Amino acid sequence: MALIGTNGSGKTTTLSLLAGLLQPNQGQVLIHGIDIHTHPLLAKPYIGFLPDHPPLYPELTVRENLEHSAKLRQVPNETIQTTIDYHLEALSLTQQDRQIVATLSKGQKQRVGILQALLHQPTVLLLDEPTQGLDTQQLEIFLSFLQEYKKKAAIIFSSHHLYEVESLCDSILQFNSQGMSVHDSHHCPA
Amino acid sequence: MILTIAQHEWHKLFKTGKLWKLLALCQFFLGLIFYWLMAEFLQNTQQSFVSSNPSFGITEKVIHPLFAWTTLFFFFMTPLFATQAITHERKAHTLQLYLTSAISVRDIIFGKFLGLLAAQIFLLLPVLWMPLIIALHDHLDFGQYLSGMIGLILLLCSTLSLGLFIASFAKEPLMAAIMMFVSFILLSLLEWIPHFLDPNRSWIMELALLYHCKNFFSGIINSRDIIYYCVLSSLFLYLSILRLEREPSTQRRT
Repeated sequence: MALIGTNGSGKTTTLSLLAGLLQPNQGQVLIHGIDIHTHPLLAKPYIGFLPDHPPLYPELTVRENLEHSAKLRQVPNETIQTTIDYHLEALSLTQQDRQIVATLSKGQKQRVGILQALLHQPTVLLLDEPTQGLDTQQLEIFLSFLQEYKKKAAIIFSSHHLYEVESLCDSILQFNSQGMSVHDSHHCPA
Repeated sequence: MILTIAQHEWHKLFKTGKLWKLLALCQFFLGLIFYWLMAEFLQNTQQSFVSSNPSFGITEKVIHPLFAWTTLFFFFMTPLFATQAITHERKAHTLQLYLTSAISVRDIIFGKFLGLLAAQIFLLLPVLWMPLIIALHDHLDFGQYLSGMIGLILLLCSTLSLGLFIASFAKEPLMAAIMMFVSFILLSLLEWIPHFLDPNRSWIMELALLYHCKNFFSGIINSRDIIYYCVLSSLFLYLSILRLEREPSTQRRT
């Protein structure tokens, strides 16, 4: 599902609510039937979240950042390195493996941020404008990776680009001044 | 998970070289103080014609004030550690990494506390080895020395937990560091209030941060002093947990 709308319409707020970072004034967020705000420790393992700024430590290398995320997301110790290798390969980041994050381009940082969200194989993937900073080639790699990942997880992401919305989404949640409306991706609102 | 977070804090400090730079600064500053205290001690013993027994009071005259200077030095160091653990992370958006993982806030705070405490104890190395120079050539009161070290570590636990509490709500690292330093000074100045106001109000003195250190530095381990530091550390760690648990609701939007 894609979240689209003008700046300030509530896309990031909605994703933060779904990730358990914000508490709703009304209603519930259920992840696999578990309320994320009353039982965060049970619901959060199912979620992978990429915020609008990738949460990376600039002084550490790509691998060190990913290792730390994997440990926090409770990836078993014996599989951490192979999981990281697999994902680095999938998003063409193998060469940047030992590079300090501060020296990466914006697009590379964005891809490392995406990897952080994916390492524990979440079944609900929340991405806040994941393609910002990616060039055409990186975008193609990323979209084909998400196409594959979509088979085993629900992906909810915000975007301003209709191309990626159409190529990836089954449904669209559009935010506007009147509220929100759900569309089929084949009837994408202009 | 607490150990994973503690290890990460420790690793980050080494990786940036921050810990090595602070160790060098600590060694330089406390080395100068140690030299000055030793020189003064030797001069005083010569003047009082007790050079036939030069070891008299060396622990009290040199090590006690060295510990006191170390506490002042750590009033400046602690804010550097505590701000980077939470305020910097909030500003760099890396705090979200913890808050979106299946980790309790208690684990986050305890992990950061342990990692930073280990780093601060690492900075105590110069204070650990400098007195041993005395032991090589003279009589060092190891009881007083150990008691002083325990006092220093308990004080570090308290200042660090207070620092983490301030860092948990401060938005700007510089502001957080200033607030921490000012609160350390204010908590220490409580000791002087009865002198100016009412000498009968000695209980105010008991609340002062450095008041309970004096016994440790003099070689007296008193359960009251231990309880004071344990209560202070627990209280501020608990308040930090409460504050960070409210982190999402502070960002509530309508």
